[in-house]
Amino acid sequence: MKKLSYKGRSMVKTLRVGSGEQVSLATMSVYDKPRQRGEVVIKAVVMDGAFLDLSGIIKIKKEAHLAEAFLRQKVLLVGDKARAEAKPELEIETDEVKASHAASVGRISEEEIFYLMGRGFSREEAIELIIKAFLGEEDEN
Amino acid sequence: MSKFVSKKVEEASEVKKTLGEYKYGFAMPENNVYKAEKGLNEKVVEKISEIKDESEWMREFRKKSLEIFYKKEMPKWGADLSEINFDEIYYYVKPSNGQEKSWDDVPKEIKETYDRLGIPEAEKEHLGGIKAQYESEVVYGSLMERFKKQGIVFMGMDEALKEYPEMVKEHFGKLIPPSDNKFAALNSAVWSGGSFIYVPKGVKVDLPLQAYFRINSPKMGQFERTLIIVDEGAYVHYVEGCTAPIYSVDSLHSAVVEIYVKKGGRCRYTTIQNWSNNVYNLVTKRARVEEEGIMEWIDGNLGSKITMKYPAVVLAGRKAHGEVLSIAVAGKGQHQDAGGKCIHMAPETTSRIISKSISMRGGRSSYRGLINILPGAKNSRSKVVCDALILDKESRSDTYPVNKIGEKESILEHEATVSKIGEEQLFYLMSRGFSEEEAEAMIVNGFMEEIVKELPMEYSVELNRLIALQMEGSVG
Repeated sequence: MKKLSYKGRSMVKTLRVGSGEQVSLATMSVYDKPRQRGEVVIKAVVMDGAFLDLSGIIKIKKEAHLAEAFLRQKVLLVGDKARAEAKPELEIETDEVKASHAASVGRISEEEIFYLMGRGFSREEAIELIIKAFLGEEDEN
Repeated sequence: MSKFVSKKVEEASEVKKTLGEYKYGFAMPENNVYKAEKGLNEKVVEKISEIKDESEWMREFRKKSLEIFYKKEMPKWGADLSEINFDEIYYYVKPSNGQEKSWDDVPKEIKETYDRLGIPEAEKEHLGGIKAQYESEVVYGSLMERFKKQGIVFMGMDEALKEYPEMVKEHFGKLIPPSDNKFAALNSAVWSGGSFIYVPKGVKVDLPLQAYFRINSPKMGQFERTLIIVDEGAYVHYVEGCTAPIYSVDSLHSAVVEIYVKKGGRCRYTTIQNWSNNVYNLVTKRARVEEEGIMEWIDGNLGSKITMKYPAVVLAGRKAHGEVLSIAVAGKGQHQDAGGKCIHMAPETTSRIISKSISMRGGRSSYRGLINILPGAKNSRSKVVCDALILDKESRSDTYPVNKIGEKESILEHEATVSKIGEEQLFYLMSRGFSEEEAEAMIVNGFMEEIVKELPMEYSVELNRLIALQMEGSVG
C-alpha cells in the first residue's frame, strides 16, 4: 500500500487512486498556540478495484484557545469494486475554539452522465469530465 | 415579561431543591436473600445456575462464556478501564425470593427505594408494563391485561428461559455471542435478570414498556440481559432507566441487549442512564433489522464514571432503516465514550446517527462510531452528525468516527463540530433579563432539543432539569 502523509496548517490536496491501487493518506493538524487557524481539504477519486484509506486528525491542545480548525474529506467512488474508508477525528482539549470536519463518500449520478451524453459525449468522456470537475472545483465553503 | 422571568427563577430554585445533589444517591440497608462470594470463578457461575435451576444448555453457555472471558483481553482503545478489579466485585446478589406480582408484596426496603424513584407513580400514569430490577433479580413486574390478550410477552429474562425455552434458545447470544468482547463474555457467564419481550405479528404496543435497574450493594456488579423480538409489522417502545447510590468503591454495570426486528417491524429503545458517578457502565447493544424494518436507539448518558456504549444496528434486509440518537453529558470525573454503529448489508438501507455531547467541569466526552456499507448494499445512504459543546477550559471533547464504504452505489455523509456557547447568544439572552446560568441552560437545552423531543414526556422534563442543574456555576 502506498502511504502518503502530510502535516501542515493549510492545504488542499487532490488525488486519483488508479485501478487496483491501494493508497492510505493521513493528515494531522496540531494546534498548540493561541489563535491558530487551519484548513485541510482532501478530494479523491477512487477507480476500479482501488482502495483509499483516509484518516485525518485535528488536535487542539490546551494552550490553543481561539483556534479555528477545519478538515474536509470528499471521496468519489467511480470504478467497480472501488472502496474507501474515511476517518476524520477531533481531539479538543480546551474551550473557545471552533473545530469541525466533514467527510462524504459519494458516486457519480446517472442523471449527470445522461445529461452529458445527451450533449454528445461518450459515457467514458462524460465520466472523465465529471471527475475533472470534482477535483478542480472550488470548495463550497 | 417580568412575570415570565420570575417564573423562570422559581423554576430554577425548584430544580436546585429537588436536584441539589444526585437525587438517587441514597442507599438502603442491604437485606439480601443470597449474596455470592466476592470475585469470579467457576463455582460462582455454577451457583448462579443452581439457584436459578437452569437447563443444561444455559449451564454450558455460562461455563464456556467464562472461559472466553478469561482468554479475552481488555479493550486497548477507548476509556481507561485499568482500575477495574474483577476480584473485588460481587457477581450475584439476590434481594428477594421470586418476582412479586403485586406492589404490596415487594419487600419493604426495595419498595421504599422504588417509591423514592417514583416507580409506582410512573405506573399510575398508565404505562404499558413495568419491570423493576434490584441488584441481580427482577423484583417486580406487571403488564396490562389488554396487552396480555394481544399476546404480548413482557417478563424477566429468567422467567422467559423457563416459559419460552425454544424462543430464547434460538435467539439468546446469537446476535452478540460471548466472543464478541470481554464484557459480553462476562455478562454471558454471570447474567441475571433483564427483560424479555415478544410482540406478535402486526401488534402495535401503544404505550411504552418500561424497566428500571437499580444497584444498591457496594462493589456490586449488575449484568442484566435483555432480548426483544418484534415480529413482522409489529411495534414496541421500550424504556429503561438506571440509578445507583454513591459508595466510595466502584460498581460495574455490564449489560447485553439483543433485538430482532422482523420484516416491517419497528422497535424504539430508549435509555436514560443516570448511574451515580462511581459506576463503570460497559454495555453491548445490537439490533438486527429485516426487510423494511426500523430500529431506533435513543441513548442518553448522564451518569456513571466511565461509559463505553455504542448501540449497533445491523441492516440485514432491503430498505431497513437504523437510527441512533445519542446524548452524552460528561461532568467532573466522568468519561462518556458513546456513539453508534450501523452496518449496511442489504440494498436500499438507510441510517442516521445524531450525537450531541456536552463536556464540562473537567469531563470528557467522546463520540466513537462506525458506518460500514458492505459491497452489494446498493443505493444505501448514511448520515452522521456529531455536535459537541465544551463549556470550560478543563473539559475535553473527541470525535472518532470510522466510515467504511465498499459499495460505490451508495452515499455517506459525516459532519462534526465542536464549539463553545457564543458570547453573542449569551449577551442577547442576558439583555432580556436572564441570568448567565439561565441563559446557558437555555442554550444547552436548545442544543439538545432535537433528541430530547423524541423522549417520553417525563424523561424529557427530567433531562432538561438535570442539565439545568449540572450547568449551575459551570460558566468557565
